[in-house]
Amino acid sequence: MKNFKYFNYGITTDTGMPTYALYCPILDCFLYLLQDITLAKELRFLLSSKYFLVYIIRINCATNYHPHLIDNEICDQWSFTNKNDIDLSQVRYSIHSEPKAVELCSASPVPQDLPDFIDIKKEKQWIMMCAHWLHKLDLLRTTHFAAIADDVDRALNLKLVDNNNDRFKKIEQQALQLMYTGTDLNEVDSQLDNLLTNFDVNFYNFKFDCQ
Amino acid sequence: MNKEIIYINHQKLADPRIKDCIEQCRVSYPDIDQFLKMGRSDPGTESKYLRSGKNTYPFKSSIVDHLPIGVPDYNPNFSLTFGEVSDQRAQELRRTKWDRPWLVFHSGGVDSTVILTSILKNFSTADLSNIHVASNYAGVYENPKFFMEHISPNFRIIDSSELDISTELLNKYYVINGEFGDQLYAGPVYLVREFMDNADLWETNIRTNPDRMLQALTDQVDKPFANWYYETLIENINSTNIPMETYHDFNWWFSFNVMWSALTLRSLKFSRTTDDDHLSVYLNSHIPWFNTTDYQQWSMNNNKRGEKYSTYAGLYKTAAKRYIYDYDHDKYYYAFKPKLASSGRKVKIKNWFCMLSDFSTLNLDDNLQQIIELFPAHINR
Repeated sequence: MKNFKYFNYGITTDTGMPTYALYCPILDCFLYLLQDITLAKELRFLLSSKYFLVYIIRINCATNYHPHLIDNEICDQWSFTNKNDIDLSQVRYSIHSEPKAVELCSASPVPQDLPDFIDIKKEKQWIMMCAHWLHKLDLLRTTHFAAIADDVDRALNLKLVDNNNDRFKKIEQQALQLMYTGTDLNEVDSQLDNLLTNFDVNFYNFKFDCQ
Repeated sequence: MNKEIIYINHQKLADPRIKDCIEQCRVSYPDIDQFLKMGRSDPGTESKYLRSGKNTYPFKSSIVDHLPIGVPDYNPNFSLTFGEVSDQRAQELRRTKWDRPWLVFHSGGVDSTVILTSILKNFSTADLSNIHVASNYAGVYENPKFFMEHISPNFRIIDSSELDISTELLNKYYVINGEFGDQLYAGPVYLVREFMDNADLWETNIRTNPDRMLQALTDQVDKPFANWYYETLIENINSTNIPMETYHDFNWWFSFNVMWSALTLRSLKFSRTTDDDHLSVYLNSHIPWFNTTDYQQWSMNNNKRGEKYSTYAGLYKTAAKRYIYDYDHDKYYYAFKPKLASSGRKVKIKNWFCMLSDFSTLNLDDNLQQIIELFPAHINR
């Protein structure tokens, strides 16, 4: 797992910093740890197309939480005790609070009838790949030229770069669709790389043209 | 022919205007108070009638004489698979119900996805132009890959968010939905929730070790209710020749036997239409996909792990999921899609008290005297 190109530990040594886990009640285990709640919500939505039920649990407030206890390499071996705090009826419209884990505990054994074609380690790699590209998208969203143009236009209303902004939204939609409906990690990763790298190239070309 | 009450809205039985009628029931059925509590354990289903076996409930099951909802005679030699039954259902409807367009309701759940899978497997591309799909964002959310890869390219889609199954709609289309899919499996979510990811408990003998079931029912309502619910259903089960031994079977039989009539008449509950002929049009033009003899035979013969349930909640309705997976190869939908309540919208339930043998309805505000006169003949004495 550690050799996977997008692997990250998902925890920080600062025990006071909120740490969240994406929890799969069907398997009763954590799938991914992270600190960024916005990213967690985006991932929860994208992963709902696969695991359907995915909940964000704040784990650093658990009585037995310690950064040395759990990380993304072994998070699928962990669950939490107060599972009844999850409101299963709130699955579809997904704006709900993040339950706090009271105590961390061992995950349930892998269900006997879970089909062989589901490999939890590979699922975790998929999530890490999505997290990587969502982070990349967020960087583009906040730093690309159109974002600067938006700021300028709020003051000057020049509307010089509308097409560029639309182009970013289109690229963003294509990237999200790949992560929402795709299944082949290598294929989707490659497509995302092409999509977002090309966007960078075009962005710089655009800047060059303007100069 | 004299009209008679064939169906009572359970939710209206506590109305003080019919208190004397309830007291008449008590004479022949001392446990009437337990029966009245059924709405607390299953608030979503407004009436309870046993459609097969000994009638251990306080009202006559005469509805089975007026609607084709009886349980077929159990055939232990029935050997078709769920997939074979589904393919035959599609072909049969293509032969017999093709004189107007179809409107298929798709929630993204397993049952309605089985319907579209059967259609896509068995119909020509030209046939698909006669079929519209009613769905909404919740349906897409439940099964986005199927929507993008199979529904969107093949069907005209109608937004179902505010779509009422009106008389006009029923005159225009055959309206098809996944009704009774839950009943073929062990449908009622209120019991399933606790047991469905526990195959050992699911397979516990209901006759020799009923304590966990009784406790679940006690937690939902109270102990007298739990005992009554258990004993009346076991007595009914014992009067049939269908093999039923486990918690799963017990739960399935309640859903299969008791909930069927209320779901047949769901229009009484949900439709906003008030036309006098709405119900008869509904019964003629609404096609519950799973309402066939073969599906019911399959259900009576396959109460086992690997067909209806598994060792975890994600693989509930296993046979139906296998049928879908063989077509769309979506391993995640197969392995992870759990049973959830359908995305129905909240609609004010109509004010009817009972339905008569001519499918007209009476309400307590306008027809109280007639109800009081007809009520005694509906009591199971």
